[in-house]
Amino acid sequence: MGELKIRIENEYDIVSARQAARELARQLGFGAVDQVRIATAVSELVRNVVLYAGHGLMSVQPLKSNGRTGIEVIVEDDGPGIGDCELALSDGYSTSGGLGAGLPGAKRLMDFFDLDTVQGKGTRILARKWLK
Amino acid sequence: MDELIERFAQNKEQIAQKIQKLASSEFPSQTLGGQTINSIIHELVEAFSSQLQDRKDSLVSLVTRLTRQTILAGDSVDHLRFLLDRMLELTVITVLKQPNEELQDYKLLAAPIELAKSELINIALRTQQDIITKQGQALLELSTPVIPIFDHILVVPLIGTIDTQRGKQVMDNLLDGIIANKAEVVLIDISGVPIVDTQVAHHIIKTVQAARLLGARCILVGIRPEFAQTIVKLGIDFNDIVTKNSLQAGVELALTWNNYKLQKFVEE
Repeated sequence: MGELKIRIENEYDIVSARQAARELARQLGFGAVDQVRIATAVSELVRNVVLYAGHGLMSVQPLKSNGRTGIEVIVEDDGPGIGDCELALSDGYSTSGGLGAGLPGAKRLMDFFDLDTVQGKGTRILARKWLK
Repeated sequence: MDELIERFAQNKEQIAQKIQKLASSEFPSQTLGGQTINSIIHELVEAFSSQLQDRKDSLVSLVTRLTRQTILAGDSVDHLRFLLDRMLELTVITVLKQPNEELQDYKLLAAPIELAKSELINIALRTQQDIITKQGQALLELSTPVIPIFDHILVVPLIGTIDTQRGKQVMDNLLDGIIANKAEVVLIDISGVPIVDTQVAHHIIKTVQAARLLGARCILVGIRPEFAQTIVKLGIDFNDIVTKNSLQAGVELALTWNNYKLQKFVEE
C-alpha cells in the first residue's frame, strides 16, 4: 500500500486513476461517502488534464501525520497552465463548454487543495483528505 | 556456409535439448500460448534449419504464428524472445567452432533470427492493438437500451462509465426511442453509474434538454446518497430535472403524469 502513479493519456485513464484512488482510500479506511468524494475529485482533476494538457501524471499515496491517516493526490501536467486561477476556481466558469464545476468542485470535495500553475509551462494540483 | 548449415543440421537435436534445459529453469510454466515449450523449441529449431537450407521464410512465419498465439492466450512474448536468443547463442557456440570462421558466417546465421525477433515485436504490437480494438467494440455493444414500460413511458438505465462515445450512443438511442415510442416520459436510471462527476452530470443535463425538445419529460432516478452529497459539493444544478429516490417512485410519478392510476387489489 504505497504510492501509485498513473500516466494520463486519454479519457480511459480517468477510470484507472479514479479506481486507483478509490481503492487506496478504501484500504486506508475511508467510508463509502468519502471514497466517492475522493474518486470524484480525482475524476475531475484528471479529466482537466485530458481536456487541456492532453497528457499528465496522477499519483496517489497514503499520508500519516500526527497520528492521523489521510490520502494525498497529485495531478500534474506540462499543459498550457491556468491563466486566471481565481476565475478557474469560480463556479460556472468553463473554457471547455462544460459545467465549470470541476476545479472548484474538486476543491470542495477535498480537505486540503493546492493549485500551482505557470502559464505555458504546466499545472500541479495537490489535494489531501483526512480520515475523521 | 553450406558446411555450417550441415553442421547445424547435425547438431540441431543437441541444440534443442540445451535450450530445453535452459528454458525449464528459467520459465515458471512449461507451456506458452497453449503449447508446450519443448514442442515450441523443436519447431523453432526445425524452422531455423529449414530457413538456413532453403532460404525460405520458415522461421519468420513460425515466429509470427507463435507470437499471435502467445498474445491471444495472454502470455508474455518475453519467453519467445528468450528462446530465440538462446537458439542463436547455442548455434554460434556449437557451429562456429573453427577459429577461422568469419564474421560473415556469424551474420549469415544470425540474420534469420534477428529478422524473426523484429517481426515478433511488430506482430506483438499489432496483435495487442487488435485485441484493444475488439474490446472497445465489445464495450460499445454493452448496450445502451431504451426500454418502453408503458404507453409512452421509457426507462433508460445508464450502466457503467459513460465515456464520450457511449454518452453519444445513449443520447442517440434515447432520442430515436422517444420518436419510435412517441414517448412522453423518460425515466433515466443512473444507479448503475459508478461515479457521478461533472462530465456525467453534464451529459445527463444535455440528454434531458434534448428529450424535452422532442416533447418528453424526464425523471431522474437512482442517485445514491453518496452521490447526492457529491453533486451538491460539485455545485451541479439538477434543479430543472425532476428526481425520485427509486425507480418505483419514478414509475408511479410517470404514470400519474400520463393520467394513469395504480390500484392494488386485495384478495377477499
